[in-house]
Amino acid sequence: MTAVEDIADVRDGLPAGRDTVRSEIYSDPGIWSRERERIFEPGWNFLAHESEIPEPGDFVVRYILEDSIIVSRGRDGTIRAFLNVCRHRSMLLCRAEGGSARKFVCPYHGWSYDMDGRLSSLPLERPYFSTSGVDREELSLRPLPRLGVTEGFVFGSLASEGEPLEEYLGDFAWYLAIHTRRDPQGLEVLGPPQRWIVRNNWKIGAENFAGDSYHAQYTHRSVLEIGLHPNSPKDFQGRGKRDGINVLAGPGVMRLARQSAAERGYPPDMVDLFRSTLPAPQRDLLFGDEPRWPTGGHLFPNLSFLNAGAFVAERRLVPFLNVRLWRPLDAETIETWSWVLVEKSASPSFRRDSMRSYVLTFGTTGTEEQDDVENFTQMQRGLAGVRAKDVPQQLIMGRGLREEELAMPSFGGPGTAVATTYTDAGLRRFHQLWERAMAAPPSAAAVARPDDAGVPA
Amino acid sequence: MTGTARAELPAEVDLEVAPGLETEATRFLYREAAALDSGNFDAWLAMLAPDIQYQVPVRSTRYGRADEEFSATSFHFDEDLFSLTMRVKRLATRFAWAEDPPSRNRHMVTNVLVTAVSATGALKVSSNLLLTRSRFDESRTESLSGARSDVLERIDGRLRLARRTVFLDQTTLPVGSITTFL
Repeated sequence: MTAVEDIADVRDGLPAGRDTVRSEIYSDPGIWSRERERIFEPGWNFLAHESEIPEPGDFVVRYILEDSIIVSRGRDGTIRAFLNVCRHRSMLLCRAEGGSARKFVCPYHGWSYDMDGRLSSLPLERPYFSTSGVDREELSLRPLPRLGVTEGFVFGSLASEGEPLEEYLGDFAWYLAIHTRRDPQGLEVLGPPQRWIVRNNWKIGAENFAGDSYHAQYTHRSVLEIGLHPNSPKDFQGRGKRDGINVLAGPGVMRLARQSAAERGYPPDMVDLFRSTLPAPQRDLLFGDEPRWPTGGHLFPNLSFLNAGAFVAERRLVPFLNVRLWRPLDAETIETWSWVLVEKSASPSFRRDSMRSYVLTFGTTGTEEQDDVENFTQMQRGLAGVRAKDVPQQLIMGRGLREEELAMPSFGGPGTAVATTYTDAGLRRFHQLWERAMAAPPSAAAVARPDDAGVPA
Repeated sequence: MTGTARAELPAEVDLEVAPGLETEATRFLYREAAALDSGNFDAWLAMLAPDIQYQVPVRSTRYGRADEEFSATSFHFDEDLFSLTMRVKRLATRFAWAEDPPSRNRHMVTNVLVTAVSATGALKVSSNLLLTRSRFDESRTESLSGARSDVLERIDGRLRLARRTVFLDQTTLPVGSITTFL
């Protein structure tokens, strides 16, 4: 819980109280190579929400780095994940993005596998491969080294050793539960994710959700001007009513508005359901004397959350819950995957309106995301030059506030909460996690160059 | 709430009724493209019926029929006149960074077929769309392609766009964002 000594930790999110990071880390191929090896290969990567594969035989194809991965639900109802590679000649086995199947059959020679990955049959097996039949176990699909499912969120890792998912999530799980445990039946996706290509480093999008509340007042000025949601430009000024609470929790960040679920646009029946369904600690935080509601956050390395809303008709505010993955393709390109989730008890009209509210503001055509993408991609252009790489990134917001102004000693959740979202604390925490991961084994080589504006030795 | 929307493929075209109407529909679609590409969004809004439904469903690769690839619940656009008007209002502010400086968006509309005519004179029209976007001094041009299925209604004697569904070819869009209308 929050104490003044933890505030010091927030303020020193980067080692030695540093408030800058090297711009080079957003475009350098060497850094990207190390990120692959230190962050994405060993780490927990979000793959899917379990509601994408509700029935036995359902599957989706997902990626960690370039590895194509089948995430499927077997006949026994268990979720499994396999490398999407035929055991015969390494042909990409499944060439659809998702669906429902009884078997996967490789188009090259016809080897087939059942939904739990077991080699089912191969043409001309006897006697050409073996008089007694091949070893089915040996030639089954390679399982993903590690798979973890928590609160309906499916994660995977390319490394067989490492921290279990629950340990990795730490205090962030408590804030994930605010979203997943407000409906007795949980959440489900509203169809497949939007996928699209954006020409910026993966950290730029991640940082925006990890800790950049500051940008809304200017990047999204157009949306404030036309009154697409209840906030006006004034609300984004210093100590305006859009300033909320920033919480650093485990490998993540979550932001809370000082607003109730009803003020955020949830209809009365859903608000009642949330209040009666949430576990007591979360309920007490959200429905206490001062109302609160999550607005968004980030889980390191590349999964972000957004619980926002917009008017879908004159003065009719409808919220949405968006989860997005910034999948890096190379040092300067990402593929964004973006899902809209909804409480399973939600009415058909709420579902429809929630999707409408999302597309009007975020995703491929969103009036807010269009300008985010503009800024992310032009930031990428700006920082990638030879001398531009020497210009460090300034993560200095929040330093003007005194510790007494920031501390929230009676805040009711785990992690470290501060009484403003106008702080780069989330960005500093993101880079602290990044630097720790980049400095970790397997290689003893330091990512850092001492005395640089960036990473310490 | 999973389901699939079937692409309305122009399978049965009544060639006898079409030619004059096709010219009329084509001229409408060309005028619409010109309004969009010249940034005359108020003129574009004036071409829409008050009860317009405008949708671009998310596509994902499926084994089997291509027309089962479109989601019934997940969209790139799911709009009515209110939301389309808000999008146009945004573009008219001085803070719509994604279109200031303006992109060079170009709508190429081809393969126009009138596939049905209602008793009230409304036209069901299919067409192909290629959208290109050029930005700043970048030589790379982004593009999107797809099939449109439209309903053009006659309101006060003039055609208006009453329903549009765009079935994009791409499942992973090769563009950072869509800053115009499809």
